[in-house]
Amino acid sequence: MQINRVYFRGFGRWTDKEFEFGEGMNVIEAPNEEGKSTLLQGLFALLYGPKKEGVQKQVKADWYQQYIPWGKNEYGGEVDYLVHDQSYRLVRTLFLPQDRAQLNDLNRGMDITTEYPMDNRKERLFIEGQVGLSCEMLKRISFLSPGFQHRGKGEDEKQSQLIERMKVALQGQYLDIHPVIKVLEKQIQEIGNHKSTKKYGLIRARYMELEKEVHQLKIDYQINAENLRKLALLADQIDRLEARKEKLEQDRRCDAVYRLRAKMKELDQQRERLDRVYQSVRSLDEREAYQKMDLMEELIQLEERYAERDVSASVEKDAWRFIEADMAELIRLEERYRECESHLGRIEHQRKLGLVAHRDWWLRVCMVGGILGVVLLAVFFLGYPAMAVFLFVILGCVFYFYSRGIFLAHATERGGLEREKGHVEKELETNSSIQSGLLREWSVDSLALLYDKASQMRRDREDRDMIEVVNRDRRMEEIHQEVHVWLSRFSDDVPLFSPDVWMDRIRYYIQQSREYRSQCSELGVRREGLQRELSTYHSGGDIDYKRGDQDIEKIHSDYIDTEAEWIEKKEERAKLEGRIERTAEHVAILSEKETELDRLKKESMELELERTACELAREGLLEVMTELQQNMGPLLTPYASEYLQRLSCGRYRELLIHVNKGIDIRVYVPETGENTSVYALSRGTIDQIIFALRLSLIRFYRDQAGVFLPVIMDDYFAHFDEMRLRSALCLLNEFASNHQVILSTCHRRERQIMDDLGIMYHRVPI
Amino acid sequence: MKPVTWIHTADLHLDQPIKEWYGSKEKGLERREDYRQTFMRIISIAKKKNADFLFIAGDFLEHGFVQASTVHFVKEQFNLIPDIRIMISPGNHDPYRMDSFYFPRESWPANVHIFAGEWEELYFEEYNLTICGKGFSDYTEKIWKEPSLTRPEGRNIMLVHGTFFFQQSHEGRCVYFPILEKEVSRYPFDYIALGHMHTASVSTLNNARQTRICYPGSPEALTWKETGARCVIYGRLDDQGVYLEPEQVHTRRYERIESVISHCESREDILARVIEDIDRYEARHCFQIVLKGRYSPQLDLNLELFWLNQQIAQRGLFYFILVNHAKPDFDLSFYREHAGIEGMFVRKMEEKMRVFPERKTQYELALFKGLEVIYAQSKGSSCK
Repeated sequence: MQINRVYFRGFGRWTDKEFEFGEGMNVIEAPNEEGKSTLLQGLFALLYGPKKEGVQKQVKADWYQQYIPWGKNEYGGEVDYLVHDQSYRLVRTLFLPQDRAQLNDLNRGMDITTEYPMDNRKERLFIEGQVGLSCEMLKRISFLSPGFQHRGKGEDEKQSQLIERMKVALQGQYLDIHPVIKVLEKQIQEIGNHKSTKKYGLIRARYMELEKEVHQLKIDYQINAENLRKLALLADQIDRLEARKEKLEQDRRCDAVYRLRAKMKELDQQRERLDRVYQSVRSLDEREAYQKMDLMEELIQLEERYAERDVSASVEKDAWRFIEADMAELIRLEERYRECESHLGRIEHQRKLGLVAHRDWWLRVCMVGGILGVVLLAVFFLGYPAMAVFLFVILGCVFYFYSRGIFLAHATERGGLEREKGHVEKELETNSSIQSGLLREWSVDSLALLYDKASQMRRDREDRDMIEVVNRDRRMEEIHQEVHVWLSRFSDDVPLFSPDVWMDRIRYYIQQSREYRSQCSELGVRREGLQRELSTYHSGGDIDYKRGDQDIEKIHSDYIDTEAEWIEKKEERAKLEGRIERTAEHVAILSEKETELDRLKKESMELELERTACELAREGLLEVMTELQQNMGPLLTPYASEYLQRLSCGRYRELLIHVNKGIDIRVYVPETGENTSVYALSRGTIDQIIFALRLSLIRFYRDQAGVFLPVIMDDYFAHFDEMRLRSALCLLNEFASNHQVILSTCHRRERQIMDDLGIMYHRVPI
Repeated sequence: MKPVTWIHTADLHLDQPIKEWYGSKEKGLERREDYRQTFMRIISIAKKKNADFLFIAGDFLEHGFVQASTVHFVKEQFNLIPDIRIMISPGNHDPYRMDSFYFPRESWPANVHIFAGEWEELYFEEYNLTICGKGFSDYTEKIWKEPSLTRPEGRNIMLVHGTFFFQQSHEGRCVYFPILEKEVSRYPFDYIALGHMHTASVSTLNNARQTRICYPGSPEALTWKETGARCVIYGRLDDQGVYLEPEQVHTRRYERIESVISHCESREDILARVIEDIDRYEARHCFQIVLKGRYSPQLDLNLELFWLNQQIAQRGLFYFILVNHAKPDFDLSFYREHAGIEGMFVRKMEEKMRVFPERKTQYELALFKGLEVIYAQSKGSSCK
């Protein structure tokens, strides 16, 4: 491949600028910032276009913004080049997205743009198709630049600089993939394995823990499910027991109802009997009875009050009564007066006749007594002389004392008569004054007049009493009739009227009624109790209460057994329900945990996949590296060794490239007879090695692909000393016989050395 | 003849662990509650539509996970619609087993009928309707079993959980009660209520009855494949035939958003693209945001995902996961022709993919991973 002409309509600082190149050595010599690097970058831009390589969409290349001409509408240009003896002109507009490219075959004078396919970026692959290399690859192989600046003189820095430069040198085929593998390994490490404490290990540990937990929860769930099944069976058993209990209960209830009904019937019969017995008083109203008793009381009181009225009214209230009393008193006083006068007469007479009367009586007694005593003495004297003596003594004593008493009494009596006479006379006087007082009180002069007055008053009184009696009698008759009628309600045989009898009869009826009601009430309470009891049985639903021929004892026994079993099952169910409830709370999180487990599993799988991907990528890269070592290394190292030997004037004859542990480049040092790592060599030697490697890559590509790639160097020899530069230019001159060399430099020494060495070159003015 | 109406649903998977959930525990619990809400909505729709039947074609209560409290809740809900006959055909996720909550059937409300492992026929004279149903009695059922219809002349509905095939070729691999078109076409069913497939579909069999065969799909999304509105089927069978109408019941939707970030130069560009995409939806839904396309190798997207997650979280979405399916923008065709180490690496990894197709994903990821690192390293070198 040979670049013949580059024309910029606009690229960076270059506007409407053309550069021409020749075959062999081309030198671009200009001071810094004169546009050498822009020219070389523009060359690649025109060859490959403005889009980023390696991506499927249209993305601007890294340099795109940097080289847009300021204030110009043109961004692009033309490049004429030669490949396999065919001349082409590639015309490009670089502005995106309206970029365009046209490839003309200069030999045939025709546009051959459409002969090249477009890639995903809508970019036609002209150079790729002609040379087989992408821009990046072409740069890696053909383009040499310093790549970095010296930053210090320390050993570490030197080493890092070396590595970087080696990479630049070997990017064409031997990209150092060791750091790539390191990055992948780091990622693998970060993910970790199942035993580590890294991300994957933690997730796995949590997963394992959770898996156990879920496993246990599932077991508990199964136990719970089993318990639920048992519960369902238990519920069924309980239902059946309840049904049986209900049946037995019904039987028992039938019997109980039967008995209750029998008792009620008995009570009803008792009630009927009671009704019959107390039929007469069933309708008795006690209040009415008491009213009747009150009437009877009233009747009695009427009678009693009337009687009392006869006595008390005349004395206390009624004047008639006083006058009657006073009149009676006057009569009495009159009589008393007369009695007193009579008595006074008698006293006078007695006083005169008293002693004679006494003596006559005494003589008759003494005579009779004496005769009787003589007789008795004679009788007893004849028969019982002692007795007669004794009797004689006794009689003598009696006679003595009695006659003495007679005489004493006679004396006393005479005194008494005198005193009595005085009393009577006094009484007569008092009597006379009272009578006078009474008569004055009634304003009458005599008892006869008082009597007349009293009679008049009595007549008036009797008239009033008559009216009262009539009223009383009427009332009493009414009471009588009413009570009689009332009594006749309870008995046909009403006794003859007698208040006491009737009262007793009323009391009797009341008592009878009370007894009846009491017994009825008792029966009612008992019946009500039975009714209540019965109603509890009736509340169980419609039952045929016919008494069967069942054995009630057996029913009862069965019922007890069934109830015991039912209670036992219910307790069992309660316990089971408790267990289920507890377990249900526990296993309620099963679903949630399963979700978490599923999430952890997925996360774990994702990490596994990522780790596997990293591992596979690492393996792939290692395999690539091994292949490179096995295939490319042996092919490349002879060229590199040859060029290095020439560059070092025969000092280093062998270059060894190991790519299995990164890029390890070693050289055979004749002084020591050992293969020494280039890290131990001077920077100058390293520069020579890098240069040798690049040339070997170009040579390798020429041998493998038959394409003579140009060597493009941008101030590459800036740090070469003169001797190395001479060697390098000599080698380049040899290379230039087959390859175009474009050497850009800001120094004159390259041109001077070439002039000294007689190397032919084409100078590109800038 | 009196028309018959129904609500057909399946695959609610109550209490199933939420899949692919990376959210907080609280949000997870809230999400679990969503499934109950959806079920309540199904009940209320059945009530509102005054449906005669509620068909639940399996995978209703997730076996091994469903809690007693959930079962209690379900029964309470069923008690709210005592006039609606509820038919449940247990599926492979809730087989009718001794250790399932369906057992014993008597423990369920009187209006609920649970089909066991064998075909059962229920006849409803007022509609001249036979419902022929069958449930799973274990986790798998490989063999098709023929139903028996004693009243073929009447209206007939089949309720079962299984996999419907139009073609026989797939049958052998199916372990979830394969139902072949040619088998069921022979029966005079008016409607076949199926469950198992989480994607809704309705087909018509080419038989005398023009049997409608329907998967209602999951009423609430369970995975990111079940995106968009989720429905139950309201059905009506009268003299005119079968009329079907979907009714939306979901509480939240799962939405998969594919954000193509190919032209994004920075993480801010990517965020703007994602936000533009998610702003088209209500924030109360759940989102799987998938980054697709090619991103610049200069962008370390794996690192930026953390920042992106933080920024998207500020949009107040109920739940989202950010998945990176975008690949670094390497032109493999370019590298494939590349003479350098990158080319060798690309060729090698592609060769591995061909040799080990089962590990293609791993090798592909490894390829991009390797190129990314190489790119970063070479870029680092060139910068220097």
